[in-house]
Amino acid sequence: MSQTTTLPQPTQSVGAQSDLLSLLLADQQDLSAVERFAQFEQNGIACHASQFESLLPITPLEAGEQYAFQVDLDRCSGCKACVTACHNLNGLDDQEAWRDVGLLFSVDSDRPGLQHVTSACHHCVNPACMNACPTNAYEKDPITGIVKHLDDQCFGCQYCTLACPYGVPKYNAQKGIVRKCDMCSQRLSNNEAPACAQACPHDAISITKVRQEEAEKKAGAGEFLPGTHRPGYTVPTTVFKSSQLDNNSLQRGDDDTPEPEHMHLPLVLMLVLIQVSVGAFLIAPFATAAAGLGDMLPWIAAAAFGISQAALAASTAHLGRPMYAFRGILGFAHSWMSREIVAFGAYTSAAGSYVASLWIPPEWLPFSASTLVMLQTGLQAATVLTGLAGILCSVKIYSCTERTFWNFADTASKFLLTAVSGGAAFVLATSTALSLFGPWKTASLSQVLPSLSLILAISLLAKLAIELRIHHSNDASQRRSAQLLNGPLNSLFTSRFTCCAVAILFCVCLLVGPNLNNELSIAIIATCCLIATLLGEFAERALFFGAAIPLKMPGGVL
Amino acid sequence: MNASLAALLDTARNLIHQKSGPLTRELVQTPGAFGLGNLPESVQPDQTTSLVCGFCSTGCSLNVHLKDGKAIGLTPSRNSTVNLGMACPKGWEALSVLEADDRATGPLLRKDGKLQPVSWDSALREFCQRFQNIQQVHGAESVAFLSTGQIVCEEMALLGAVAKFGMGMVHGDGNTRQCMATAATAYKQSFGFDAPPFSYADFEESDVLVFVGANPCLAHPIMWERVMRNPHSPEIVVVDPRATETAMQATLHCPIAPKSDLTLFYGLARILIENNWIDPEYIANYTNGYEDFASHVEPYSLERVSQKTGLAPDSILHLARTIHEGKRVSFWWTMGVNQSYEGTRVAQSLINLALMTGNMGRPGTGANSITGQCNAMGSRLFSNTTNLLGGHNFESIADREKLANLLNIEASRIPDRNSLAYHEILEAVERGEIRGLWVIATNPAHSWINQNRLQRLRDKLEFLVVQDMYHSTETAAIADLVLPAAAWGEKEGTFINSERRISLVKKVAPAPGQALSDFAIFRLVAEYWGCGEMFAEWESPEAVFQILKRISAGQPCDITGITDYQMLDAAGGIQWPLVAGETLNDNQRRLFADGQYYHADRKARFLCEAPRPLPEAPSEEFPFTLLTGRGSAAQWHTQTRTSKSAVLRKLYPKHIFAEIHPDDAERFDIAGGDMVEVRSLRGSISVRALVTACVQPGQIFIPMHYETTNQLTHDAFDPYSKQPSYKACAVALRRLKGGSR
Repeated sequence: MSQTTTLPQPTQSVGAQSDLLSLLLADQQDLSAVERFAQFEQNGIACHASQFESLLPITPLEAGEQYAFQVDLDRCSGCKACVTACHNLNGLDDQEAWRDVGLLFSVDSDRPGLQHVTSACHHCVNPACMNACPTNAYEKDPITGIVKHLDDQCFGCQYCTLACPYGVPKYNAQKGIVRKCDMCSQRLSNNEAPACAQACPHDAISITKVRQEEAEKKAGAGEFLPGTHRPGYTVPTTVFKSSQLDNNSLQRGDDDTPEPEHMHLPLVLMLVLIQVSVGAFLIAPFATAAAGLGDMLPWIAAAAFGISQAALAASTAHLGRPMYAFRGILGFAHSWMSREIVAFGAYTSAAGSYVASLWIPPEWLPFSASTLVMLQTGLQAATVLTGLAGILCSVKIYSCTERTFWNFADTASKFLLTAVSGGAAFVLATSTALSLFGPWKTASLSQVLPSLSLILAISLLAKLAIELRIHHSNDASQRRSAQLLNGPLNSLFTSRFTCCAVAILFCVCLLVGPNLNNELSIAIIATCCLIATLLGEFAERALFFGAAIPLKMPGGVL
Repeated sequence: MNASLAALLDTARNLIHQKSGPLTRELVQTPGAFGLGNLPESVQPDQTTSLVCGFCSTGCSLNVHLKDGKAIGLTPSRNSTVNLGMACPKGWEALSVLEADDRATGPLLRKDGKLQPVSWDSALREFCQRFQNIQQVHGAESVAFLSTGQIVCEEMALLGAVAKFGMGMVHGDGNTRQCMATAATAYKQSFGFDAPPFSYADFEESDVLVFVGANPCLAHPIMWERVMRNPHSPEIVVVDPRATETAMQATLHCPIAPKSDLTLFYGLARILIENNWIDPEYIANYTNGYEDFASHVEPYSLERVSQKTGLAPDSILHLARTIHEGKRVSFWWTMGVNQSYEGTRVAQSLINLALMTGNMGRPGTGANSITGQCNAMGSRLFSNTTNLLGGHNFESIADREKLANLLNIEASRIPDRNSLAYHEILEAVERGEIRGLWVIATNPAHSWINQNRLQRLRDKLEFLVVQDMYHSTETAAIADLVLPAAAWGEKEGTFINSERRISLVKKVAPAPGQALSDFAIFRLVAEYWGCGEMFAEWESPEAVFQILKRISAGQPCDITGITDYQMLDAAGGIQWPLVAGETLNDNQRRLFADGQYYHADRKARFLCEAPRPLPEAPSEEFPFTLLTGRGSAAQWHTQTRTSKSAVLRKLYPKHIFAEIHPDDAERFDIAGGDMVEVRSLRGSISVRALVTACVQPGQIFIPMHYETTNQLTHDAFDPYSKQPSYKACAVALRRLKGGSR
């Protein structure tokens, strides 16, 4: 077949013969053409008419009832329009949305299958977020049962994001606060369905009424959704309906691919340093007394007080809105974080008074020297006790969330051993350093060096043993933590052990080293030992956050 | 004094427990105008207008919210007959993907190996000079174009006309070759014209729906909406090797062996014939070729079909009975059928089932191809690629003369032969016959089958022009010249959806920088090329729409009854055909109610052919069959657009993964989350393992959206439709050292 088409004869040189280009560039920016269409509404009338009324309960709530989301999983096809509608209709930031869709899939060859799961806040009968909040920024509406977050009250501690077993409250870093689903309560009060329910092409999401007592009964019996935390913890109210979701071999979309959690550096600093300071206050008086160097104590205690205050300063850096830090105690009645703040507040007072009592010249005081000693002993006891109470509150903050990695025994052991090892290392380093100076030049530390080194080495070994246990756990969540420690967190995990090993090595040097009579070497070794111990503890604490598998709804494939 | 004390108390109370304030107010809603319900102040519009979505072929109407003349948000149009007030995540996020840092804002020309900004004037001069130089040395047909199903009809038509009638090109094809060519070819051969017969109302009116190689739950969620609204408690049959979302919602899932579909449908035909479950009257009155077809399916015994498909005989019989017992049976297919080396015959095997049982032309019936891209149907009718504008034939003198008259050009300007198909154009590049390529709104460096082979072509091209809304696509990155295009929502025109509905795209957002609509770019190309005069009448999309109407007159796709854009807008889109003088009473129309097809004898044809073996069957070295397909409703094809939305990114897997059956995983010592290597004869990629029973043993599924997937796929093609066979090739599997991640 022949080609009949001929080339058009191009002009001598190609180029525009008119000002078409500038015309088209100008036209491109003109948006007025749309106005010529009929489906262009300029004078919209405010619409109060009900939207998607069929997705709402017909009758009003009765006493003991509350609103709840109902999800008909048989109608959820996994399109995820609900998430984009939540984002768009609520005017949320960037990737912010208060609804998520996860995946459950079968690994059972005999029953292949999958189920997408859409979920937002479960508006629990006993909301963990509300119990955890130190500022009382959560309210459970007494009539509707909707769990609302008061955005302006929140100071951005993010504790609720750790406490919720469904990953519902989300931190908005730009705003420095947490925000969450309120079941579109403004729409509900206007007889409109929530954004997600409106947007579901298959009417899978609706609002229903549940009796709170019944919800508690069901939660107690463990009825909720496969692949989620025991519902008895918070009594979630969302009703998941499904005709085929009883398969025990269902896996969650993100089960095999855990990702490291946020490591919260300010909290890492705060937890380690304040625990070290408590340990120092515990150990220093005994150590200095045993060595007959009681006059070193004011210096060591002052230094310990210094790091406790650094710790508290670091903790405010964790807040999204630190200027509202004072609100942190409001939740004392229910929040372990408020209790921690109160306990460490008392600790600061006790420790400050204790240090002051050590420094005030006895002659300034209106009472006898023996009374002063009694006072100092009392204040030391108060310091240590309030400090331990604070540490206990810290432990509870995390163990309360019911994350396996943060179980009470492990967390308490870790935190207390940080106090003991860090305290010992701290006293070791400060006392040997002080011994290089004037009045203590000739002092002999041989009375306490071995015991402090031994305490340090043993507590570090004990801690390592606890941390390594996770690799032998059969628990699925612990296995995932171990997977993180061996995988993406491996370099930090290795550093943690290296630091620990180095610290123990220094302890051994101090115990049996050849240069025990050389104060300078001892001080250097002890200081290095403290640095290694602290670095190791910082790493351990970063891993404490990073490797903690959160409780949440089934996630999607990552 | 009292007032200031009260204020002081208030401040104190607020410090302790602040129930409201600036952060709370940000989310306070007020009842919206325009029937939108409650909306936060920040997204309250002062104007709204509806336009058709620019992602898939469903053609949802989106109600764009405007403030001070600019789009600030959208909601699915409540009163649309297409989407009934709903949209999928892509639609909801259609505007946010327009705002991206990598939007192309000015032309880029490769200088010293790097793409560097140039003015439009220099870019257009370069474009014309380089292509003309190539043509002068190697002939007019040494320059070709690869276009798209993503731009409006008017732009497709102008491109096809400028390239072929103005610039002298012979070869141009679209990425619709990758998705719809098979359906188009099957319809053309069976019905005499590329005419998907259905309307979406049929989803609601069927009592039996058979989905083949389709996962509408993810690929077409808004069509699935219609199925969910079917009031007849329909039987839903899903024929798919995988347990997909759609399969989970089926009343019968037939997990057939990959590419055993043709055997299955011939076997079903035989059972229907054996039991006399056919409609002899319909066959006699409205079809041709039944006798041959009946004898063709004779050898497809139940045993043979069961063996080939892996389905239990009972299940096959049950399926046949279900089809027989249905009063309104509809057959629906998507890429599982189209993207096959024998897809045309598979599509026709479904058409045959519909014809022989008389399930055509009535509500809730039909052999229905669900299209892929927003304007795939427009491309099939008006792109001037596979057929001469409006379903005409390049090879017919009469058609060429008819078009020349209609367009007021010389008939000699119209090529007298068909274009090479997509892969043939690329092969011509390999052979050095085509040396200049103009790629418009598509991303072959990611999407084309056997990607590595395509990558090697780059060096053979003397000049590669990529016209796209982003300068960052895999194809734009290797271009010599990048032309910045305005996107959907930044320009006007029409799309034609799966049910043949022509709907309007409107300009509701300004294009970034100096980006221009594809329409404007084509006009400028014509102007700079020196053939601007020829297209004097093609001055605006709406003017071109009038030209297209003229061209469609007397064709099956006659749209002379559509007055103008305003009429389309008021009706919420209009399906073709609408002939001049006809009034639009029903806006959900289906074809063939009268049994009159488009062949000269007005009859439909039974077409069949023996199934062929897999072009690349699993072997000892490559023991697995690789299936590819859509991964989520939040991803669109090569993710050029969908990856730009922060919300959409949350909704799909970040990393490429492979679904592997638990038995295979055990055999190859693979745990979920492990990194594994998937290797074919053409390439090898590393992916994360997802161990799931949703795939069958011996099969691996990898979503198509990730850049490396097509390094594996095998470039086999359907001989009639020339569509690539993405869905099956042989691969090997190996756990990568280091185990998990």
